[in-house]
Amino acid sequence: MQTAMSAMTAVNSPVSNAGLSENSPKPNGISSTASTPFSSLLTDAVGQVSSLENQARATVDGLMTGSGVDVHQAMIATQKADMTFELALAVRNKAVAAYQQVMGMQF
Amino acid sequence: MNMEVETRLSEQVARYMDLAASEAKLTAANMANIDTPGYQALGMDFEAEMREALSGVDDDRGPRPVHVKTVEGLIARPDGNDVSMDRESLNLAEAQLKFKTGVALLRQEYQRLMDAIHVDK
Amino acid sequence: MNLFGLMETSGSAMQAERMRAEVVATNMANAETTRTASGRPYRRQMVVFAANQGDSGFATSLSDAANQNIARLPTPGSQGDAAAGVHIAAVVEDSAPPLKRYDPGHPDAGPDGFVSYPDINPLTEMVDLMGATRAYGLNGSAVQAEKSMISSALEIAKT
Repeated sequence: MQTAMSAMTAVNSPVSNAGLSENSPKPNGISSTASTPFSSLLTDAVGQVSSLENQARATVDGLMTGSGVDVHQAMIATQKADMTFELALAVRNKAVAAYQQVMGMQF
Repeated sequence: MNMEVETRLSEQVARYMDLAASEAKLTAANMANIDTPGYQALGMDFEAEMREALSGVDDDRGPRPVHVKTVEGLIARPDGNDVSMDRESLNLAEAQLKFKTGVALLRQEYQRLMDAIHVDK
Repeated sequence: MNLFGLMETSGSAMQAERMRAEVVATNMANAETTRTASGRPYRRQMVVFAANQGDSGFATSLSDAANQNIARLPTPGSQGDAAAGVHIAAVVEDSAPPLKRYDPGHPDAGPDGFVSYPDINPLTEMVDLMGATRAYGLNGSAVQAEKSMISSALEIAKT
């Protein structure tokens, strides 16, 4: 099961800054003896998306209350949050697809 | 796994736009005070600030404060005011163009990133 | 001060220049007024421009704004209150002595037969008006430029 999990991690995400390579069975920073590295990856990703969204919301609030935030800064922050969300979504979809693929295998 | 989607180029362009906005603000302040006695025109060295901003992106520093100083070489009128209408109009047009260029570059970069994220769609 | 604050700056200048033009118009209208409500002849009025508070702290607020990391936002209202721009500090009366013309038959003639007229030169007033118009137009075009910048900023996220 551990090798299956590693394979799923390696298969997902066409774009990511994590440095996961297609062929390595052991992704960076994750030891093969860790219990659930994959779910923590996803939770971590969701946490980052959420914090970026909070930042974006704070920027927009700052814009609306006139406290010195520029229009373009607010737009950039919201755009970043959107793109990070899209990335996380793509990763999740890939992961789910890979998982289903693995689960569908006949042993 | 770092999910934050940003590239070196997008950060640089964001700083470029910040600087263009600062230049516009300075120019607007100068224009508003064209009739204020004794007012000295304020300015900033765009190229120097941009160089510093670019190296800041590389070193992963945050944005630095813009150095505002009075412009040299301007001729003062009898009331002490040295704001030149032509100079300020030109600066404002430049700042506006820089800003819009930044917007275009940024949109392009974001489009590229979105295409990469959705490469399988 | 953000990009919206830019419009306030230019707007303040337009307002100040318009007031200046109004004062010029008042001067020209009262060029021959020998008796105002206070009984004395009309005195030429002038406006005094003064930069808004924010201009002295302009460098600070600019540096605050430029120093903003998206991750470290200031609390609302902590800065951005410094509004740059200009305002009319005062409308003062010219202290120049009035023009005197000899006209004993005039109802406002003094005991010596001279009538006091305000010392208003139409040429001076016209030049002043032209200056006000020019500055008004300059700041008006600044507002246009700022509007354009803000609209193009809004397009960053347009897909």
